[in-house]
Amino acid sequence: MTIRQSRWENTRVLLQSRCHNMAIRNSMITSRTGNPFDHAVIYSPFWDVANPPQSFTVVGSTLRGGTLFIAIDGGDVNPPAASVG
Amino acid sequence: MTAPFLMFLLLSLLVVGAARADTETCIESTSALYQAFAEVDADNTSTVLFKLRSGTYSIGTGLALGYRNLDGDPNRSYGKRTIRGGYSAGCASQSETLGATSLVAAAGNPSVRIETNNNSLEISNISSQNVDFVLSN
Repeated sequence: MTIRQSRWENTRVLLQSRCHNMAIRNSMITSRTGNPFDHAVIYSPFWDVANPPQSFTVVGSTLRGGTLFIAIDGGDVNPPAASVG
Repeated sequence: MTAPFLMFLLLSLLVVGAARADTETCIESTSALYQAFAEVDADNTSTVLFKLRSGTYSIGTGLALGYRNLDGDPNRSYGKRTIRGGYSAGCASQSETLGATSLVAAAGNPSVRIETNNNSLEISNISSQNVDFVLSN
């Protein structure tokens, strides 16, 4: 799933899939106003040992006003460490 | 030698023809946008492209499109779904200009919910204000 060349203002974006590569490319996402602790983007795939989540990529993009929140849900093992680059 | 080659050629043409059997919908108004989301055909497994003309689309209630639970069938394979803005009248051409196609809600943050199956999804050249997005499968 790809969000590309888009500008979303006063929003919350929930990306919830372990089966797809997720990407935000050349976009600007601004979180909802009025809540300084809100998330701009939530990436929350379900963790399955046999079918772990695919990649999540943010390239050439800006997240404003809120955080990028990553939550791996489910399963009985800890996922490997993520790399941020 | 000739017969197998002709058979291969025929099959290749059929495959190419199938790959080009995309469904494209030109959307030029808010009502057309809601109608397009409401009329997703679970039997249509080809790639689908929603072309949104430049302009403002008023989002009052949420938009939902589902390939698993709402409209589709989780046991089928669907083609890529693309929702792309920035088109001219009649969707004759497309511009990469940011903000040309905008989904705007007055308040309340209605959601655009898209649930894919095994098909990929691309949203591009779309701007929005006061609209949430839930992309899942």
